[in-house]
Amino acid sequence: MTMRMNKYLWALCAVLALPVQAAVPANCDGEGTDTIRATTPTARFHLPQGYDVVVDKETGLLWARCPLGFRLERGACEVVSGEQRLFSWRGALEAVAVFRANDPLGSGYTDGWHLPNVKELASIIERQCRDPALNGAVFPTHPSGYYWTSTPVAQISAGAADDVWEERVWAVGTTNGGVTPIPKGDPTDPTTQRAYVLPVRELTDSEFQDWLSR
Amino acid sequence: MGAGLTHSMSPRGRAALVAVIALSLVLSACGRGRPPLETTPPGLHAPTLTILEDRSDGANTQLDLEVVLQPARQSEVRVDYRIEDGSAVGGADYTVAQPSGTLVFAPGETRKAIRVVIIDDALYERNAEEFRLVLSNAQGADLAEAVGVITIEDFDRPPFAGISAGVTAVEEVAAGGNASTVIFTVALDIPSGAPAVVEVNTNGDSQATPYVDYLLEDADGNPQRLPLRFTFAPGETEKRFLARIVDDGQAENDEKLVLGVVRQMEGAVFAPSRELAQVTIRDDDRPDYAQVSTAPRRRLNDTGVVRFAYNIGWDDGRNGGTANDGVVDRYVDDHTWKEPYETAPVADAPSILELYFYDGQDALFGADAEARAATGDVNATGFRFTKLDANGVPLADQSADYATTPWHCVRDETTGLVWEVKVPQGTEPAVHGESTPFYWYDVDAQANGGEAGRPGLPDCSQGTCNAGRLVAIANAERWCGRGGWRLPTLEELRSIADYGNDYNRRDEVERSTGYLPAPLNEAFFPNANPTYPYWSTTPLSADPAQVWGMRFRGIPEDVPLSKSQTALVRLVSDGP
Repeated sequence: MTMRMNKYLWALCAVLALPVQAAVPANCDGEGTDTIRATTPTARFHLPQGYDVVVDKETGLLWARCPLGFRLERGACEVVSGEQRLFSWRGALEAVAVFRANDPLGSGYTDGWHLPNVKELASIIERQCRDPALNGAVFPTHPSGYYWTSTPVAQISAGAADDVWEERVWAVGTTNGGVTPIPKGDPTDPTTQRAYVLPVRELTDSEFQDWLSR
Repeated sequence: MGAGLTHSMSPRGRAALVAVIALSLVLSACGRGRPPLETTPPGLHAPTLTILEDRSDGANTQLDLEVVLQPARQSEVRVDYRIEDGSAVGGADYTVAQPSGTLVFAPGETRKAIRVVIIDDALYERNAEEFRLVLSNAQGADLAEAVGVITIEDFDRPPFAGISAGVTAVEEVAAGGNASTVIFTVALDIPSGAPAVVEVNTNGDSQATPYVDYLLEDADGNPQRLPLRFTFAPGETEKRFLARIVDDGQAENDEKLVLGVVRQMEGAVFAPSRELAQVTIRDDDRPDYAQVSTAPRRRLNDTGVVRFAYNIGWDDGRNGGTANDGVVDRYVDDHTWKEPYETAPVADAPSILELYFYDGQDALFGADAEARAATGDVNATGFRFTKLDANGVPLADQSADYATTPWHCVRDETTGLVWEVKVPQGTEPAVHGESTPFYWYDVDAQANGGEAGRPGLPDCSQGTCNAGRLVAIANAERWCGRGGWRLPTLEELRSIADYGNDYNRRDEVERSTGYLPAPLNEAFFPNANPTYPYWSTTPLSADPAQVWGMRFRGIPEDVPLSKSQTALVRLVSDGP
């Protein structure tokens, strides 16, 4: 409720208006709003120098900064020509297994990297942003679209003839951060469901401390 | 020239009047061909003059008031005089050694002086001040001008009025539960020689509502209304008043109370640099919406998924050919428990041609997998919950069931969050009932996504109130012996979701309830209504009218909820 009295006198003093404290925005690549508090403020993350990975200081997770098929160049996730960017779920699991074995980001680990589960992936969604709903200072210039999680959907598909679990997996749409079941996609049929992949790794306490010092 | 007229005018007005009179005199002289100043009548003349009080060195001015005799006389002339105060007061504005006496003009003498001292006091005077020199009892000459008026001009600047508050922020309820108060000071930066009157009021930035959010009292505790008017006596420079903050019990945004000197009354003008006093009233009833956690590193809860998806290639002849012809006809995924890296073929199902176990699935890593490895229980999950009684004390028997030993909260040992456990609908306290609906309401424009939602009724026992009321109630009653209760964020709500569900019980539960089991660990979260979604604090960036919620029915679903609807609330606390 606001008193509006002596508005003319106050108008004279407009130049003396006190500064308004603004919400700290996340660094949205796409659209953002200052009516929602940042859920992934940049200060929550540590960017080790010389690595294309980021440490989430709140969850202790180590993330690749760009999805598979992209490379961090001059602060942006650039498409790597000739590399696959969109995968079926099975293709995603296999691609992360290759990533784990080859350690292309030079993390020093050939274990632990995995396709994030639904809670891990949802934890980096920036609710203040959309298209994509990610903090661009941490995960720059990501495409908007579905990102695979490793979590299958545990639900009987309606009308399924067989008593089998529906062939769906939880995905996170980076357009607005929605967590949604999507079909796994047939690895042999490229017209079926495809989505992006962002590998993640849990860190032990000593690994976590080690990364914070880099 | 009428002295009374000029004295009531401003210096500028007087100058203009002088100019007009001079011009009219010149014009009349042109018309009549006669010099204007030869009209001075013979006799004794008391002086009428104007003097500026202020001097650059700040010292007082000595002034000789000359009584003029015109023309000179051959014999002695005597006249009594006295100095009379007008608005200028002897001793304060001027001094004179001999306030009264007799002037004696020797023969041929035409001027006698009375010395006065004009005091430069640096005090602003609203008007020029004057005192008088009065002649009487003239002997040997007429009194041509018996009264002389000495006007003291004053260009001392007026004081600036300012306002300040003792604090910049105040809790709606102070420590100890008493009403918070804020003391405001209205001050003049320099004393004034004239009474100064200023008005204080709120401005357009002020969000708090008088009589609702605060009450005003003067220094003696008398209730006051806006606008406040203060009269400073000459020399007085400070007034105080008090705002008593009202604890309205309503969840609301922190509100600003902005007061300023809004009107220049007589004797005072704005003080531009400090004309506003701003106090933030921190709401104690407001749920702590969507605060970004600065908590130390904590592992995320795992998902509860303990089974694997297999891709099974069936050779059943659906896509042509015949069954068991060696051609894969379709793929399906099977969540039936399989040992890792179990391989095909499956002996008792000859139509299964291929069986892929997808390495890297959820169930293979994280706390769930660790729990399975540690216990050997294929249904074990990584959730670590502790049941708390009404005082927040862990139940001695954690395996007790709700019917015999009800518990009121669950502490998540992984995330550190304490969760409200709802009570069965129809039991007390009803506001904690598993099906009690609430509106979503947050007036914080930096957190509500653009729309505040619906406040609902102020009293939850009278109908649907907003979630902030349940927060206030839980904090007031110290549910489970603690405060810090608030609405969870979407990710906090997700943290207790069991994405694995209880596959083994699904048929049984679905048959008896019509629903798949609630994807919360039922052993810890009884009375979990599976039908309606739960509110989170997290707005949708795409639509100011919607908030994210989660429905725990069969599978945990993220659902956009309209702020105009009602939904359930499960409170969370990470406070003391």
